[in-house]
Amino acid sequence: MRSCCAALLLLVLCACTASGPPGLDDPRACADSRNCASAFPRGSWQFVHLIEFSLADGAGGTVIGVTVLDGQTIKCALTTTEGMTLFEAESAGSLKVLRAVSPFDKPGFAQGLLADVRTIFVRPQAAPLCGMLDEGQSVCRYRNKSGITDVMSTEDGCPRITTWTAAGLPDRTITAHDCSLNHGYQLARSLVLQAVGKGGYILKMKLLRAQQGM
Amino acid sequence: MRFLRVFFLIVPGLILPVIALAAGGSAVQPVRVQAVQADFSQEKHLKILVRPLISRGRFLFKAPDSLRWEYTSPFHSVLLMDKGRVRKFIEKNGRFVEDTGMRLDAMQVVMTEISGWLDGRFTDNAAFAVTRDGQAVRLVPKDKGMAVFISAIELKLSDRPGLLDSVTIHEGEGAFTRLIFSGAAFNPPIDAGLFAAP
Repeated sequence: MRSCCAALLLLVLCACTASGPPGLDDPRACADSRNCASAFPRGSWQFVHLIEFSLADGAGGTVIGVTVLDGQTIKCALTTTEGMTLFEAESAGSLKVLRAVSPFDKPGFAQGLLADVRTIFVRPQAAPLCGMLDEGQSVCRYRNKSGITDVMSTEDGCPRITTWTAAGLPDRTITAHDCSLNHGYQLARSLVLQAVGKGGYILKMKLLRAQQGM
Repeated sequence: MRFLRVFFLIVPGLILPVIALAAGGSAVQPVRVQAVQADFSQEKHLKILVRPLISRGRFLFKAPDSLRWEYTSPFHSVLLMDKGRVRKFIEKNGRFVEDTGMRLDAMQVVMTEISGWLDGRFTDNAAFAVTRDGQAVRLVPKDKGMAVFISAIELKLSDRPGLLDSVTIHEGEGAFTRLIFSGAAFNPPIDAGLFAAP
């Protein structure tokens, strides 16, 4: 009996952790879909967020996050709430860390932060497919060599973005709240990013300022 | 976190020594500052920023060791230092929540600095090398640990004795924070409760 339970538990765990994205019914190309396009900003923007972070080990804190988007260039910075710079980097193809003080200088931190920024703000490089999930919810799906990104709408019309790695493992989920259309972008007053996996964390981001057309 | 240490080392020290300097010229004369209150606007400049980040707030200081550094815009947060204890609060959903994600082990150092400046021992400060040119004062950290965060601090004294126009904290290439003060009042009555709770 005990071994059966263990086997069942293992089966459930496997199903939950490596299931990959759900199947799409009636998939079709939808590059011009407004729902797909409005989930990500276009053009030049500068965003400032108050970010409350919670790490898997229980640690956490609050910082200010700055994101500057300009074409293919992404720039980002973290400061304390008093304005002291913790981290500053830019990516225009390759990542260049301009400043990183401990503990924000740990290996992998810059790449992880940039992945967060890309997931939230950068439309995946792929032609989307639109379709329906089993539950009847419409989804806009991007698939490329980095993985899979699903964009759905929440009940209040904000985007919910879910990503899987190229191996089909759950990666990040972003849920936007209190959105309004701004230059074709569903600008959210708050966002929650949940990164799953061994080094999982949660970011609760409150928009302080958004400026378009820098 | 060291950031808080640096911040608390700098912020009160930026205000108080200037009062002493402005009153006393190069031959620094002690100015007995029991309390200070002022509004501030803060510009944060970074190399990557197209436009600076602007914050506003006010601070209250009461000798010997009480400080309230409060941001009112674009979000509401309060740093409190009272009798050697430092706490930080951020307003969330209409109420203040203490941010415990920082270490507060540097208060002894901070208090030493503040009391020294209050006594007019500004040039004797162990933390900074100080030079003055007219109304401009430049402080360079002596400690390499602090220099990681701060490369230099520039103070601009007001023409009016006892007032400070601005403070610029340089962190490195293209990164600096400028504090511009207004509405300063010296030795106003301040409710002690403002240092104890947000």
